[in-house]
Amino acid sequence: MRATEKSDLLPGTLEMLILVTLRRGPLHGYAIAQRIKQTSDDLLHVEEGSLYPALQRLLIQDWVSAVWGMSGRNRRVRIYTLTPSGRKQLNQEVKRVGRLIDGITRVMRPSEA
Amino acid sequence: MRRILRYFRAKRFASDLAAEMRAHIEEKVDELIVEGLRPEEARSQAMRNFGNRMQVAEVCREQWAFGSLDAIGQDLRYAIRVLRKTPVFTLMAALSVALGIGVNTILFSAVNHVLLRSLPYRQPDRLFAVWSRSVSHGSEPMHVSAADFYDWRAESRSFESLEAYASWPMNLTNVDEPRQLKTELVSGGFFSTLGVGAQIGRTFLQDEDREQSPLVVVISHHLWREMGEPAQIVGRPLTLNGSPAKVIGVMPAGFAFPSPEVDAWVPLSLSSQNRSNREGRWLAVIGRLRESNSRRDAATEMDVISHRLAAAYPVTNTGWSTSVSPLQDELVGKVRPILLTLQAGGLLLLLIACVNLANLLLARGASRAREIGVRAALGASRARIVRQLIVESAVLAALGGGMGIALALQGITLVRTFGDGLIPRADEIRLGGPVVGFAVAMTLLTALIFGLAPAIHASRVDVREKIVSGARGTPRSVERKRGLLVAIEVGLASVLLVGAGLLGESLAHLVTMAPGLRTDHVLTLRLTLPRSHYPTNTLQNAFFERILEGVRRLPGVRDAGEISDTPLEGNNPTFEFDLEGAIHGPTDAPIQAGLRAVSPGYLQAAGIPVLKGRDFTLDDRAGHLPVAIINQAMARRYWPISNPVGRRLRLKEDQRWLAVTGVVPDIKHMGLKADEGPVVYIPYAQKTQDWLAWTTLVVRTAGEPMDIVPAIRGAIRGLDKNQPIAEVDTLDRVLTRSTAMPRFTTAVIGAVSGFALLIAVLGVYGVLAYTVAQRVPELGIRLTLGASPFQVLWLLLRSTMLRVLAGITGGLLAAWWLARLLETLLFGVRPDDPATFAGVACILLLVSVAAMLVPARRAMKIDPMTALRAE
Repeated sequence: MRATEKSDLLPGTLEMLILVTLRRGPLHGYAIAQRIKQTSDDLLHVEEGSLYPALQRLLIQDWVSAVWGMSGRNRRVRIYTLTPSGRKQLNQEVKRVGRLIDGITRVMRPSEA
Repeated sequence: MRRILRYFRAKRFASDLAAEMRAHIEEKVDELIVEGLRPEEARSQAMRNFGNRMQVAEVCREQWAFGSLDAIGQDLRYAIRVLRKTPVFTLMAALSVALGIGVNTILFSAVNHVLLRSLPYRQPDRLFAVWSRSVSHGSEPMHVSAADFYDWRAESRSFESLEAYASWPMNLTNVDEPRQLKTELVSGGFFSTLGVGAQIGRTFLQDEDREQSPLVVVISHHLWREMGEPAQIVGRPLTLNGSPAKVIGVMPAGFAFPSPEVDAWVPLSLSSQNRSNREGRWLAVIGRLRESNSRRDAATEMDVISHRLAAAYPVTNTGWSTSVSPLQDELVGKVRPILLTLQAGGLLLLLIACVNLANLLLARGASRAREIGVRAALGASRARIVRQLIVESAVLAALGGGMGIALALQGITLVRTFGDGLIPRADEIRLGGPVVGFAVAMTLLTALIFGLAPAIHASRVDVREKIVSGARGTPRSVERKRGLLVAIEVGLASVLLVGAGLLGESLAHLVTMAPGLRTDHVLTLRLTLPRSHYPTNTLQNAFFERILEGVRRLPGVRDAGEISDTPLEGNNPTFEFDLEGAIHGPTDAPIQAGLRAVSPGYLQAAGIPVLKGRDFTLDDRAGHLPVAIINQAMARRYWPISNPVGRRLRLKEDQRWLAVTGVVPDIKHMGLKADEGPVVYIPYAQKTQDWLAWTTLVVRTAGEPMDIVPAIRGAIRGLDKNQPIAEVDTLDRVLTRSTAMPRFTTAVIGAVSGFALLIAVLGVYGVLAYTVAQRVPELGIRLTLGASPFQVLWLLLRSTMLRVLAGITGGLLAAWWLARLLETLLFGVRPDDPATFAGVACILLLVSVAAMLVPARRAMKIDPMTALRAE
């Protein structure tokens, strides 16, 4: 499954995945994509065409901040950090998605409800 | 604010993002090499995976929103470049917008300044005109008698003030060249009620209209200018109708009440006898409503007062009531339907121009589909493409709008010159803020109307299909839309043409009306004798007779006569009569007839034949048997079977019995539109009304009438050096003037419809020509397979013809529904006149067929082989 087609992913999900990924510490763009791929056990591929616009949206909202730094391979990259307001937003998102998944689960298995 | 800051950060943003994406790819390449790919393979795979970097950057830019400012500038430059590549298209498009915007701006300047803007007086919405009316006079607003006016003023509570005025020309004689001034008699509070002060000096005091008060004059700005703008004007003595008067003030330039021609205002100082006269209805009345009262309050109150007056004075006031109407309606009410009709016509034209442009742009869009497809493939978003196309339309509209305003600037001067004397408040018309605002708003609206639909359509292209197929044919949807637009154009044009046709027919009816007299080679001029010099009928009539004798002796004069009211101009004072032998109950409506004093020879000079009996002679004078000539309307109504000659009728005012000596045909005394109704002519020499101290000299000449004016002026000067002549004109010109308004209306609507027809026909031509060009290969195949040229022709014409027919049908239905609104402007033709509708349908059909023939001929000349080879 590729998490790239806009229609495949619930709106706002990519942003949430980025925020979750950044919770463990600052990362640059490529690393964010890699991390999402790894933690989802290769289930989710973040396509670059969606990643950068999503990062820009988060910058506009002030949920992440970006500074130029060095990558592990000693390359000049932009490193994104979660801001306090981004953390707050993430908590809300997690709750919202939790409820959503809960709801979907119940609908999918009506016999157990 | 943040947006603007972001805009300045835009440059850094772009390089940041580019560097970041480059780094991303490098990281990936490194990783892929580690995974075992060769460097070049790794690079190409990384690039492929990343996709279109430009597009990503574009999406990111748009999210930051600073892109839009930047991009519009880019769109603008691109639009200008594209439009310059097709100068003919651009010029035609801009010109059609310019025409539409220009015409509408000119018309709106008139609508705005004449109809919408309030009158230039203090709190103009509180000002009302009050008229008398009576069922026996068709409930038309009528002048008010002095006694009624003073009673209204004494009893009304809802009006803060009520004031009267009346036109009363006076002779100004203490100058080198004696002249007649257009003076208005006005009651003392006239100016304070309007709330307008003098520019120099002052206006009247409340009690300056007393009979004993010394005569004071307020002059108009233009009279002051004609006098050479003397600084010391206040206190200057003027001799008016032989009496000494003193100038107390000059009104400001724009003041034009009741009309711009007024030279001076004089207090309405009536003798107590005149004040109590309830018979003569000659005053116009205005009132300022109290803040606390509404128009309805005033109308109700005036009704109560009228009832009381009718009960108290049954002889004069039975059946008389009042009407209260806003002063603005009073001044401009007559031109309202005309101006609104013209504006509606203008808007229709603009709409046609818009539809036509939309049509052209659709065709252009279809031929630009490839270009747009390529842009979409390169990553332009749909919104971006729509925006680009709208910017193009906006540039076109702005170009047209600018030219339109320039056109309006010229046109407004024209309207002011044309409208002078035709449209009230014409001098106020200008290209002010609201009018320019209107032009700009119309331009924007235009851009939206003609730009949006084609833009959305064009952006909906299937990118892949366009590029791969090379896209020769036009999608059917474009043709359908264009067909619909052509139908709309033809429909709108037919609405306008019906309007123009009806107005044109009305005008034709009007100008072919026989005026009832011979207007060629006739000079008319007006003489008003000052009562101070000619107080009695005897003196007045003697002077009138001597003038006639003098004028008849002049070389070049064929006939000369005098009449109390200039024919064709509209003044028709009516009086009450009794008929001998007629059984007339007290409750019957009184017999009303126009009364005109004429001299012997008038009928001859005006070319009015005597149908029965005889004309007046010099023997019909004071002391002899009082006589009268009646018109045919009077004869038919009251003596339908017997010969009226020899019968008698009595003028109620002086209780005299008059013997009918002759019958003359009806003439169009009040202008060509109206019949004059029953009329009684009496000889000047027998008149008993000493207030009737004026006459219109009617002179039939051998040569050019105006050439004889100096000789006549000299002859009159020789009799009385202080007697001026006024309103020198020819009867032909009076006649022309009486149809000036309908001619003006018809000319404007005619021009507008002409343009509309032209645009619609170009639309029909354009669509068919385009279709033919697009379908050459297909037609080639059909011809090869054995279709006859006529079958091909029919194939082509059928759909366009159907659209034209649909347009005409729809248009005529709309016109049938709308034409009722024109009814007040029509004369002698019904709004659903079948001939007009049929004529319009024929014209449109013929012209459309003619427009279709050109491309059709091209289609028939297609050589099948050439067409196929091109494929």
